[in-house]
Amino acid sequence: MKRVLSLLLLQFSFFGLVVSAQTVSPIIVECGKNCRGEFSITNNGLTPLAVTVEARSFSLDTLGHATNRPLDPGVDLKLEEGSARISPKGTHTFGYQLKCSVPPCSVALLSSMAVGHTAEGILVRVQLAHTVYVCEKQKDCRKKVRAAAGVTVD
Amino acid sequence: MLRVCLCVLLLGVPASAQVLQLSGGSSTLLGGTGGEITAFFPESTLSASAGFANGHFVFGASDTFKFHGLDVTAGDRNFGYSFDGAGLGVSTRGLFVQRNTRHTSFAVFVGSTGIGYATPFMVTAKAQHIGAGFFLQRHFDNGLLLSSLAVIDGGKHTAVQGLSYRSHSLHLAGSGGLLQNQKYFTGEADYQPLRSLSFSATHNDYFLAEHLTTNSLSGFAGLGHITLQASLLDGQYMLLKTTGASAGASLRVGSITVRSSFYESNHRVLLVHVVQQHFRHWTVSGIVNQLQGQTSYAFGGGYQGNRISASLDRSVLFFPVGAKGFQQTTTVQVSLRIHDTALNFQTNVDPMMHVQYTTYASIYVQGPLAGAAMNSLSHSTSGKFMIAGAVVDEQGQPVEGVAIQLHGAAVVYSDSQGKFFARVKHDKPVALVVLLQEFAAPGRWALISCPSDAAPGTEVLIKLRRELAP
Repeated sequence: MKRVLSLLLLQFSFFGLVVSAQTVSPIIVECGKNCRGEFSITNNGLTPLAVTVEARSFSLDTLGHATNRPLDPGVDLKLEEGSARISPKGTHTFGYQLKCSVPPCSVALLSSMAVGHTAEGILVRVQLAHTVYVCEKQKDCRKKVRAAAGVTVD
Repeated sequence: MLRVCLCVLLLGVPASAQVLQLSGGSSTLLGGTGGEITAFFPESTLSASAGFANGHFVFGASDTFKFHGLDVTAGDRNFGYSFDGAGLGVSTRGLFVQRNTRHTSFAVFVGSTGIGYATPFMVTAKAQHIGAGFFLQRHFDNGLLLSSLAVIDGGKHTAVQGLSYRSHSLHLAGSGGLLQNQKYFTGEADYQPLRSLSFSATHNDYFLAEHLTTNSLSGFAGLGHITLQASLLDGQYMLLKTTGASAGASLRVGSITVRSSFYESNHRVLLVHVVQQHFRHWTVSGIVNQLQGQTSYAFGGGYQGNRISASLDRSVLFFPVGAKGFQQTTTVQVSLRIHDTALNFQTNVDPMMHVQYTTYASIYVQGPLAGAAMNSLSHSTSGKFMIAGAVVDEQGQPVEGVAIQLHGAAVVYSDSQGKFFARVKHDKPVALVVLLQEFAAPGRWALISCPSDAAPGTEVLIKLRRELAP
């Protein structure tokens, strides 16, 4: 009986914030001019998760840092879904079609989600990026985009 | 008495748990039927399982928690590790402690060992022998990995050492020692001089009722859209020796893959030709088999979606047991996700070529400590017509995370620009409801205006007001 009581005390003596990582896959894809792809968000947490997806064009500086901006006029993106509710330990796949009238194009599909609160009650949101590089030909597209931007680091 | 108290404890704590996971299932492959309830607390997880395995009532319970940086489990769990071709799994009942750091993993248990059942829906153990175990794995920066496993399982003793090395193009691994009182050695070498060229050689010992040995030698080459592979296999079980050879080539053009494979074992030659086409959600396969001058045809395929995935696959596996050599197997798998419930069904073929099935379901239930968790509403959208809109506050600023339900059960959320969209199947107006209790946005909100329905091709504007906390 003592062992059971010890278990019970131990059970209620640990309370805090549950933090679970969410994941996106794949992180980067390379495409030809007409691109049809998908990415998956996995909810590793124990509570349902609302996810919204937004698209941004981006450019790179010489250090490889990205600067986001609204989608360029020549980019035609058709998302199958703009948001989803992902059940605990579940995975949701977002499909899309992307056309780029003047390749190369660099597009980031940003998945935003609220993952919890800090001890002070501040909402913690994360954004996970699925990056799409679109060129005339798929092969070495990311390499070409980075070279064109003058990126000197890996 | 202890069992009764544990049951009372396990039935009582779910009322205060953060999240509950309920699982249940049945499997002829794993020989059991039962269920499990798991209560997740912020710093611990309490689990209880019960069911029938091979006609006997079995049960299990465990409590996993952190203690001074250590992961501690009191109760039932599997002590199982594999490395460098060696592996051992023991069902234990007792105290289990583990710690994982960037370079080092260690685990230790003391208690009892015995027959256990570890399935996706039930984990139980039976105390039969006094047991203890120790596992240590150390990663070195130069690519070396050193592993040690020592287990006392009643009268069976295990002491295995493993060493592996991984570089850019080479992977060497070997392990040896005593595995459940039997001398044991296994080795593996992989060499990948180019990204599209690799060679592999393995030697393995399995400990079933009798000693089983397998060896393999294989090569793989990729030349643009063409891939080539070949392998030699050799197995021995109960003094019966089986050898096999296989070779294959595949060509990928766009979404279509054509593959031809040759298998030879026990003087039998099997030719398998497969044409496979991949779509966004679908995969369709046509299969032609040629065996001993006879030709047969089969079809396979699958669907992969967010709510449902299903597949019917045929594959060729090498079975050294019973000198069966290469055998064709069929696998059917169906997975469904309805709200927070996952349902799975799968058939498997065991080494004796018996068809076995496993089916199980699990559901997550949000407890009172989980906070304002969202309800289990459907959120799937599909169709060629689009309904779009925006959500703003009194000042016209966008509001993010607003949940909007469209008739037909689709629920969507507004993004950081306050915009949302949903796809519907029919070109006609659908009812629209703002779900104030489902917001992913912080704070309390009240509705100022929202149209009662929305038609495809039109922009909907929803206005909200932020309410001050009471």
